[in-house]
Amino acid sequence: MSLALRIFIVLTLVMTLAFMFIQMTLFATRENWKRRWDQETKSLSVELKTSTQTLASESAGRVRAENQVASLQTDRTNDQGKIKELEGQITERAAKIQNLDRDLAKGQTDYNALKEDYQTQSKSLDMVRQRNGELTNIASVARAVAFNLNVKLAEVEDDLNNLQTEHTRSLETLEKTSEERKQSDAFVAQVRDKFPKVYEALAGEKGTTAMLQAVVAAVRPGSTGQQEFVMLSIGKEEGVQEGQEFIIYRDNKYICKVRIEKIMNDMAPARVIPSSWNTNGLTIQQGDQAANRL
Amino acid sequence: MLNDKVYLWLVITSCIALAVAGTLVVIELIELQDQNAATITNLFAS
Repeated sequence: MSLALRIFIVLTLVMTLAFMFIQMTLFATRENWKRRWDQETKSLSVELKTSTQTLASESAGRVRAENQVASLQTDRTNDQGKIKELEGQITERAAKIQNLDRDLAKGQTDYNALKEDYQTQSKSLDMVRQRNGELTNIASVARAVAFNLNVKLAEVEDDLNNLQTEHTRSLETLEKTSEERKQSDAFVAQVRDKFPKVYEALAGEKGTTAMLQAVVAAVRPGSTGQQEFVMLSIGKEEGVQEGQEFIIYRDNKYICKVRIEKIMNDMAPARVIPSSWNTNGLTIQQGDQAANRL
Repeated sequence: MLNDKVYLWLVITSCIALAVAGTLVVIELIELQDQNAATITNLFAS
């Protein structure tokens, strides 16, 4: 075998080994374009879907935002109208505030006047309270006096009850005396029938000693200061005579005797008989009873 | 130096390496052709 063939064989071996190494390296490191295409198309389709969705959502948001802008513009116009109305109200309120300030000034002056009136009224109230205290003291005194008067009234009522009982007793005695008088009248009638002369004589004596009653019209003391002169309400018409004695009494109680000194038409002055005064200390009063016999 | 049998084995090894490299080239060519066809169909399809 020649040397050239041997070199050719070695070179061929080296070249084939190099070619095999290159091909194996390329096979190991080659790019699968189909698989890469598929992956990228899938990822791009997904991104396209998401972008379309975001586009739709953004467009919806834009529409909403435009609607909101429109509504906000309408609100703005309404608010501007309200602002104008409020400005008008503010001017009106300012005018009212000025009027209220004027009224407040007037009220302040009225308040000062009322305060002065209040001070004067409080002073008068203090005086009234002081007067009220005095009146309460007077009322307490008046209550005490009223209590004493009530006590006295009770005593007077007791006396009245006693007098009423005495009055009933006197009525009973009067009834008894009227019955006795009836009996005496019957006796006198029998005497008049049986003894007419005796009756006529007794009737003449009775006419001379007729019962006279009068009332004390006035009382005058004498030079000694003791009661001495009395004016009786009896006169010539009743048949009174000078020197006739009358008995002064009050409520069936003897007081004294008087003697007629002069006779007028309807009055008769009399002098008190000094030795005839009662022992109970009773004195003559205007309105006492007087009679020539009991 | 080497005898003739060694050179014979070198020739056989060269042939085997050439065969392997040729097989790899053929496989690459076939796959590249498929990829181009799929890509073209996808392009028309989209």
